[in-house]
Amino acid sequence: MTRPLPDPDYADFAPFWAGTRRGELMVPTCTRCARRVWPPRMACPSCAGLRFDWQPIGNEGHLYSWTTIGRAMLAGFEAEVPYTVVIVSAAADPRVRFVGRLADGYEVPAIGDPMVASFVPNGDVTLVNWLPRGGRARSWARPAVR
Amino acid sequence: MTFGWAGSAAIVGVGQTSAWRGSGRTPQSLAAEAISAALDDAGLDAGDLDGVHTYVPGVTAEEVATAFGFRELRHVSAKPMGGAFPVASLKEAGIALATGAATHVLIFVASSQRASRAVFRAHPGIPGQQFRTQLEHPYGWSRPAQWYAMLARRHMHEFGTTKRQLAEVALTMRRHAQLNPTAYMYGRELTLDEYLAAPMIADPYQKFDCCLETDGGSAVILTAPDRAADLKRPPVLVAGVGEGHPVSGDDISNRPDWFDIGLSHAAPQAFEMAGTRPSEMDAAMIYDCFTFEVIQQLEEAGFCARGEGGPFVESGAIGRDGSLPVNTHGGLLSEGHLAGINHIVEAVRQLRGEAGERQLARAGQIAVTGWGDLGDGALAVLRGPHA
Repeated sequence: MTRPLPDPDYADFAPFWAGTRRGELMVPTCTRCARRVWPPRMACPSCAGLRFDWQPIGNEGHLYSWTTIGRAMLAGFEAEVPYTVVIVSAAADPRVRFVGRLADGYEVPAIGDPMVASFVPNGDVTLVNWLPRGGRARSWARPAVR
Repeated sequence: MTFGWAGSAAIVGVGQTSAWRGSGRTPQSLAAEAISAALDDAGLDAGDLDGVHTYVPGVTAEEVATAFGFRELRHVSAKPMGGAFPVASLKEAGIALATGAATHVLIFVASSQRASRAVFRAHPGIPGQQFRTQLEHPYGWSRPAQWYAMLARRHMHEFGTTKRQLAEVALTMRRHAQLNPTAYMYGRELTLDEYLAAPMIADPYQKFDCCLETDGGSAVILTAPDRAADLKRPPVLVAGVGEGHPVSGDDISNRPDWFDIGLSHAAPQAFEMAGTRPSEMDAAMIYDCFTFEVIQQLEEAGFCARGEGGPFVESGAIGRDGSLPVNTHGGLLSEGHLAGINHIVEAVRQLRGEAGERQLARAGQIAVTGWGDLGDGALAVLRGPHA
């Protein structure tokens, strides 16, 4: 089975996927109070505003947390294990955190280390993998227990 | 805060099946056995029940009321809080009894593994489906073990919590199950070497950091304390109960305070309502879906400060001879997974002095927690005849 992919036309998130196709991370910003609202919600949690402009937030961040998954629990990931899912806080606004994949072939960096987004086309949609900035290539076959 | 339903509810009957795998039974059959046992325990007629609180998705209130011949089903409630449903439902039961919406309330959970696998393929009750399917599933992040592993990893980073401390939770639950003949893991001890050698599920969670999936049914019946006095068993008062939801209950990855959970908000309400505090509890039944979530809930409920949960469990505090015995039945990790209603049942048995070989010497009041979905939570303070 193939991995589940996002629907790039789902209206509330479409500008994000349009951004990843161009190589930019875009985030909705409240037109009333300028808060960046991520994930894209129906209203702004700071001021209850309903209107948002999508603006680039930059492609850099820092590792916030991670897990290396040893057993596939979602169809399409059977051949991928072990793989590492990361949460990365945006350098421009650490309150915004993205879920993504650690690019294959890298050791998991330390929490707090700098990361940079890479854009991986996959059919109609471009997904985001994260590369450790200055990261080391993985030298082990299976993830270490830490 | 005011609690207009305080003192309105007592647990008067509990019933539970054994925990099994591959029973071949339907959730209806398991529910019926548990409900029937709870009615016998209370000495009530099924016809007296008029309120039902059900776990969704699952066996419905209508099926139960029709099959058991309720005279009238007047009050149905379903809290969409995953594993926090049973404890949060103690609050709904209290409100229903205080207002007269119902006179006898049944709370139950019944599931078989086949059904639960079907549930977890879609987990329709989880909030924020669009975030899950559009922003998380494409990266292979889709299940509770994987979600909560992120919480555990960050806690290890911030507070120095160790794998050995997670192990202590798993080993303690397994040890407790050795005194519970109905536990799935009864007769199956676990060593630290076996724990460390188990397959990796979602680092730092290995196999024995994760709760069981079992078949079973469990039921609790409540009524007003004045009615309870005429029934068979000593009533167990719901002295305090609260529910809570994390600041971003629809999303874990962007939670402003990473360790904030529903319990952080529920526990102060419940202790205030009961007029007591965590240090007064004789035991705690903690929703142990995964090992780290026990540590996190001990902190957020106020049994220790945030960041001190690891050393707290490593000191032996949660063992049956420790300062706060936790999950004397073995919990979800070693008794069985009944969405935490089995934690309420165990608390009631301890408070009545009916826990057999595993009876605690002192059991006057016990805290019970629930955890579900993306961190929804609930806590109840149950008070028995020996308080």
